Amino acid sequence: MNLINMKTLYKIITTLSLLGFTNIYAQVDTLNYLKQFEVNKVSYIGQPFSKLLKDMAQIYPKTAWSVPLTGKKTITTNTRFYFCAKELSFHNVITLWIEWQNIIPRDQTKYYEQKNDFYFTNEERNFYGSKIIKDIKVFR
Amino acid sequence: MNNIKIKNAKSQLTASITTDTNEKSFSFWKDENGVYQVSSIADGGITNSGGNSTQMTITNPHTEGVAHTHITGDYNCFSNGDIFNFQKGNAARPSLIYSFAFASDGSAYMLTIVDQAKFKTFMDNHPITNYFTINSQGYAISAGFKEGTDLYNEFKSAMEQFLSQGVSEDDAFAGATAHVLIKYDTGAALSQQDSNGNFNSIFVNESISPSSTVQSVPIKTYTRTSECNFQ
Repeated sequence: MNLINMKTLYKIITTLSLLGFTNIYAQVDTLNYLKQFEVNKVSYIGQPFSKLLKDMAQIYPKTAWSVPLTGKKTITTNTRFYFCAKELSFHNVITLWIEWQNIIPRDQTKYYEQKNDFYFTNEERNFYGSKIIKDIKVFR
Repeated sequence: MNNIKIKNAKSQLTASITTDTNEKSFSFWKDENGVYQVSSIADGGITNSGGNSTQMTITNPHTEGVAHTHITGDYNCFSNGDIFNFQKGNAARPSLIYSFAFASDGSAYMLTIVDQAKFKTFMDNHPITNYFTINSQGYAISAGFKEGTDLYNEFKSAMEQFLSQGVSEDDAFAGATAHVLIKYDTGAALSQQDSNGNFNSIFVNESISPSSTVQSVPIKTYTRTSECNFQ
C-alpha cells in the first residue's frame, strides 16, 4: 500500500513538474514563437489577418490596441496585439504589430475598444480577421 | 503669447484652422531694440512631406519661438516628430526655446527647453535617424517614433495605460509625451494652456509594483500630476 502511494506521489510530482516546466517554457518562448511569423511575413502580407490567426495555433491575442500613436487620430494604420493579461501589458510587453493594407477609420476600431475594453474577443477576431495585412513586426 | 504682435500672428495663424488642410506656422524674435517681431504665416506642417513648421519658419538668427497649428484630425499635442524637429531648430538657433502647438479645438500646448545641456545630451544619445524617417535636410517627416524603438515602446505603454484608465485620447497623448520628456531627462517641458490663458506644466508619475507573488512582471501605472518631478 505504501509502495503504491509512493508511486502515485512520484507521478503527481513528476506531472506537476512537467506542467510547471511547460508553462515556464511557453512564457519564455512567446517572443520566438511570434518571431516565426515575422520571419515568414511574405506568407501573410496581402492575406487576411484570419490566416495568421489560424496558423498561430499555440497562442492567442488577449488584447488589441488600435489607438494611433502618430499625429493623426482619426485613422488606424496599425494594431498592436498582446498576449498577456491587460494589466501586464504596459511594461516590456511582447508586441505583434500589424500594419493594415487599408486604413481603418478610427471610429470603427474605437467602437470595439470601448465595447470590449481592449480585450480580443470573437468580435475583434471577426473584425480584424477580415482586414488585409500590409506588414508584420514583432518586438518587445 | 501676450505680446500684441504675437497675439495678432496667432489669430491670423488660427483663423481658418478648422477648415485648413495643411498646418501653418510662424516664428517670433526680439529685434535690436528688444521689440518682438513676427514672421509671416507660412504654409506647411509636419503632415507635409515637404517640410515642417519648425524648419520652415526659422529665418531670423535670434528666433525665440515658433508656433504651428494642428488641423482637424490631428492630435492636439505635439507629435513625436515635432519634438525632434524643435531640437533641430534649437541646434541651428540656440535662442529658440519655445514652441507652441495650436489645435483645431482651441487647445494649446507649449514645449519649452528648460535645460539646453540636457536637451542636447538627450538628442545626441537619440539620433533622429534611429527614430524617424527624415528628409534630405535631416528633419523628421514621420510623426511617430519608429516601431520597436525604446522611445516608441515607452510612449506606447504610457499612452495605452492612460487609455485603459479612461483618459481621453488627446489627454493620453499629451500625458505620454510628457512622460517621455521626463523619463529621459530631456531638459524639455510640456505645458498646456488653461481656460485663463496660462500654460501649466504637465508632469507624469510612473509607479511600478509587482503584479503578484508568483509573477515577476511589474505593473506600471502612470498618473498625471501638476507637481514637478524633473530629475
